[in-house]
Amino acid sequence: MDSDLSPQDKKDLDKFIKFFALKVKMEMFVLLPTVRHFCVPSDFIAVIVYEPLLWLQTVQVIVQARLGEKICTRSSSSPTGSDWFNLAIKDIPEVSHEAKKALAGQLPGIGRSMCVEISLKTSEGDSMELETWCLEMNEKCDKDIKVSYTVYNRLSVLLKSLMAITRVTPAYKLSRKQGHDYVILYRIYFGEVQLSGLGEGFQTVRVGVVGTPVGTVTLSCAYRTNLAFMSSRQFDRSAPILGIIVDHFVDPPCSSQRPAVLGQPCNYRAPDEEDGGAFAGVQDSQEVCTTSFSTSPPSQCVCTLSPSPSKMSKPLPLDSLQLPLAPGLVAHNMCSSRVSYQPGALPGAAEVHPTAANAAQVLHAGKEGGVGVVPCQPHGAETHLTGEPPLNTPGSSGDDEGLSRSAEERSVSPSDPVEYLNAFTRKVGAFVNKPSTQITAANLDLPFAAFAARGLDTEGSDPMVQPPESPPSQSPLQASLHSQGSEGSGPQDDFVMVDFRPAFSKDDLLPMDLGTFYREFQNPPQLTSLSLHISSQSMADDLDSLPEKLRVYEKNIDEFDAFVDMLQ
Amino acid sequence: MNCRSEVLEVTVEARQIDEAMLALLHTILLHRSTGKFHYKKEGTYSIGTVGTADSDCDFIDFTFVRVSSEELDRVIRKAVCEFKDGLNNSGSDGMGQISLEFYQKKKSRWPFSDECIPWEVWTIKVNVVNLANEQERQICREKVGEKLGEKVINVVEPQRRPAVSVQNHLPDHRFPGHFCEHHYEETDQRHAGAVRIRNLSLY
Repeated sequence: MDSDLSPQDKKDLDKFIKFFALKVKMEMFVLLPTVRHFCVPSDFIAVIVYEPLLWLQTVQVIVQARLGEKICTRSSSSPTGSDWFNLAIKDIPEVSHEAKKALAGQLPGIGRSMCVEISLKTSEGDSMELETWCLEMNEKCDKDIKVSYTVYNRLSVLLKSLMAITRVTPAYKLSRKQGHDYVILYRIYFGEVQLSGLGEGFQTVRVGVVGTPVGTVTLSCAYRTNLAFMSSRQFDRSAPILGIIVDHFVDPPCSSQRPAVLGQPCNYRAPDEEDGGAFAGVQDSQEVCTTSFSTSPPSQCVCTLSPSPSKMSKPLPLDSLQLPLAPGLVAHNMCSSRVSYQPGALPGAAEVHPTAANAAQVLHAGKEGGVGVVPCQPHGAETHLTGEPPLNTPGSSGDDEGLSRSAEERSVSPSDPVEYLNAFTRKVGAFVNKPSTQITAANLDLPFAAFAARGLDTEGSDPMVQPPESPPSQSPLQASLHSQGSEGSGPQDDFVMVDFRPAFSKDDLLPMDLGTFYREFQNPPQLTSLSLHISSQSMADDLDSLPEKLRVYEKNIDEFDAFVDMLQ
Repeated sequence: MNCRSEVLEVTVEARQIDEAMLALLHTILLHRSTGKFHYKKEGTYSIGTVGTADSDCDFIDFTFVRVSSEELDRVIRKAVCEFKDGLNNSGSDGMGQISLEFYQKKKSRWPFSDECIPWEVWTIKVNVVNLANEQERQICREKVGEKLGEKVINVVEPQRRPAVSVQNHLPDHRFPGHFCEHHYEETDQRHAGAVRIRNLSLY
């Protein structure tokens, strides 16, 4: 029948159904409290009215319990038209819209269960089902029961039980902690309940059972107990270019192929005029910048910021993170360390939590050589983040200050990147044994400079190229690992293990325990490639060739841009 | 009439007594609270709306839902505080119980006093343990949270059973019982319902 109706007729029919439901609802509201003068339509019709309301209120309670916030509603001595079942339950329009969309104009009934699935989705795109709430009705009727108040009251108690139980399942704690790393999603569907995604050993709890003249309503929950996250990719990621690690805040390139069954995010925002609509919260979730700064060294990850070319009317908010860069550095990194993604617009799909994307910040190296912070441009504009890796601090991963300058470097004019690079002094990591005397603790911003070893050697004792000598060992393996080129002073223990008894350590292969093994190999021998005469030559060559390389890359910037566009 | 009786047992640390008791008592009262009755003309009445509020525990990894009523919360806290003080001062080895009783007050004619007929009693038995170090306290914090979750499920389960009706002539809307007078306009004193919290034996 629906296929014969024109779109206008369908709209009219929907309006009529809504009007009729509202009319019945108003009549029920007025006449419900009446005990003696109960002249409403039959109990059957009353249950018909209660059922969809119960469905909608159940969905609201479940989703609101997974918003990640504490819920607080006020008691009221005078009932209002929207407080059904004598409970103050806030009505989130987006959730109601999703529930009605799932209803698809049909009334739930016997054999047609309503299920609300709660799942978790990480910023990497992995998802895991946490729980499934199921509201179903069977054929067992209680014809003697009074619908006027008894059923209504018991449905109210059912919703109260639901409120209590939603705070007890493991998903509640996860939802309170959702944020940058993961978000909680919900999905509503009708039909048979699907529990296969809950893993093994899932638990079930029955929230409540209410008998009505037309059937028995049962509300139950099945929740996952094994929360060990199985990293099962739902899509294939493209291999990173030249083995560069992709920042985990970046959406994968195949995001447009991700199925829309992940659901809607459980992060409600009150409708705002600036957001432009009742569903702004849902729409905005699909139009979020997908990249952010990486905590790994800049050479390992470069993120491009490309908001989805959709209806964004305002620039994305910026995080207050300040990433210091050497001024004058060109805003293009080597091709090998550049990865670019562009998210697709997913209909009703899940999102990365907005705050995760808000961490994105764009740095744009101006033509004058200065570095400034600008808002990311909408509608497909791209800007590139780059940075030079700290030259001698491989251990300082995640250190955004890795490129901070010493006092001497600040005197160099920022307009000449070549001179700046030449004046750039190598920095020593915090946990290096013997920092060079050329770089004293006073000049460096070592986090633990005060604890640096005293009595430093004067000449050429950079520990990065000349680590301390390994301690003499009686182990038969030590001789094969010891290098002839190793130099340096005797072993220096940063700390002393008095009694090392590692748990579960059992080594049947070698005649030593884990503690002995650790002590013996605490100071490994020097690698050949790090020997002084080789490493100093290669490093010097690298420094000398760097300006030339930068000039070449700047010259070929158009090719790089074309390459990036090709990847997209 | 038979009184329905439910017993819950919890094992907590001393500083967790308050929150554990509050969580369970508020959960029970949430299910047994209704909105305010407004009686109108011609025997009609309307029922107010009950708001809810989430409460996070400080010493337990747990959040419970309570009725959004400061007065109710104050009364419950006072009773729990008295119980805790009694538990600490009794010199017992950290065991005691507290009861929440729902009863119906039947007014009698003079010279007989009003008759209190309990129709549901919830008894919470508490076992207090002493922990040696912070690690054990952290473990206890999580374990007690899980146990309280199980107790909440135990509280919810009996709600599936219909409330016991004291007398057939009493209208069904009188059950569940109403807590405190501020939720109920006593136009008919004979059918007034009430709740009391009793600190029972500390052993």
